Amino acid sequence: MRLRGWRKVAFYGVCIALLVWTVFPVYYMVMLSLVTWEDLFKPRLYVANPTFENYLQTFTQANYFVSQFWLQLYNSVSIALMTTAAVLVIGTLGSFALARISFRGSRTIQSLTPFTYIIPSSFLSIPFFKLMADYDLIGTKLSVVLVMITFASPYAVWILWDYGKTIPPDIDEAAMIDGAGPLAIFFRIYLPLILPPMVAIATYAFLFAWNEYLYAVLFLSGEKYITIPVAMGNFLATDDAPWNILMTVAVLYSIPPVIFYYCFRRHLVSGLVTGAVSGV
Amino acid sequence: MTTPIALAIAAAIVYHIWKYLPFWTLIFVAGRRSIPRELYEAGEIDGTTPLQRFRYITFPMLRNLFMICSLLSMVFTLGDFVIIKIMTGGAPGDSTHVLSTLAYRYTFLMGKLDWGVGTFVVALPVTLLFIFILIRWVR
Repeated sequence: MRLRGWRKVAFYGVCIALLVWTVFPVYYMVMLSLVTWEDLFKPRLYVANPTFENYLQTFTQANYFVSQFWLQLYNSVSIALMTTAAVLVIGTLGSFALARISFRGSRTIQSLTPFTYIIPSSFLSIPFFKLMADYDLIGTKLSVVLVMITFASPYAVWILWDYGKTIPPDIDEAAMIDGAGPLAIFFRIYLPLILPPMVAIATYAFLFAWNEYLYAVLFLSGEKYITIPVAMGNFLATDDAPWNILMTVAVLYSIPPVIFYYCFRRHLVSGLVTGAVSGV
Repeated sequence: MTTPIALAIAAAIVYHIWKYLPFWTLIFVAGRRSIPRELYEAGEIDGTTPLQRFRYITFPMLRNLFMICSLLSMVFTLGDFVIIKIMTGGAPGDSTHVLSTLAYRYTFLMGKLDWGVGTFVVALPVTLLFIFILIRWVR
């Protein structure tokens, strides 16, 4: 279908408007990370005197607000990686059990898995806080990781199971005739075949834990133990918050997800959509 | 007094639209691609306008996707804590709270755990409705 005349103009007009709407906040974030403190409250659409001073201050932990930047970044990374690893193990094994092994109650589990996805995670914050307090886990990374696993793994099982169903069972039977047990089937056949949605699930779990604010703010405290999102929230506790350094941290913190997304873009979109579209 | 509150809420809404519009667009593009091309060709032969093809082919084929996306979009927004906490903090005077920030305030700032849990229980009918729709969709 070719567009001509005013339709073409209107089409590109809408496209440009949407692009500006979507990209402008990101541009503004990057721009603010490059301005000096003096220029911060003179709103402009471009940077008059760009400076990398903010990045230098962040990297060398020279400002009070970023005094523990590297430690906090390490906390974020370790929580996200632990969550990802656990979710992948639970997701692959759980989906293998649902897709390949018939056992009593498997249908109930299948229909229950999407439920944690439909209950907003913040609604369970108080029960989880009580639970973690009872087990004396408040203030440890493990508490945040456990909660993140709780919310991310049912979705992982659901998506991987949805994909695992589509692998023909003939392959399993052929392997069984060749003498492979369930474990060999899992490692040699099932795992390599569900690799694309696994990439999507790993990215999802990583970003889910990477962006988490509520549970991190509830469970972690103290400069050395909080994650970057909590530290960024703490910037705003004062009236003269250094927005340029806040934006610098925000830019640095958004780089890993962006890299993740562009490396695995193809798998990510198809993996997330299998779950949503298969119901069509 | 109402204007600043409305503005604060509007700002939070604008943020949510900004954040999730590209995501759902991506999902819908993938869903649209999964519709067989033949349907559109058949529609073209029958002399339909693009608008009619959208109304009678695209929309019915994506009905389930519309359903699940609206549901998840509502869930994501209903449970949001960060935006209100960071943008308004519930101010001015507890007027812009959402459920999760209000429960946070009750439980962790005022020490009334039962009030906090009660705040979430208020949303239970809505959540149960979502679960009911999801059960029917999963079947």
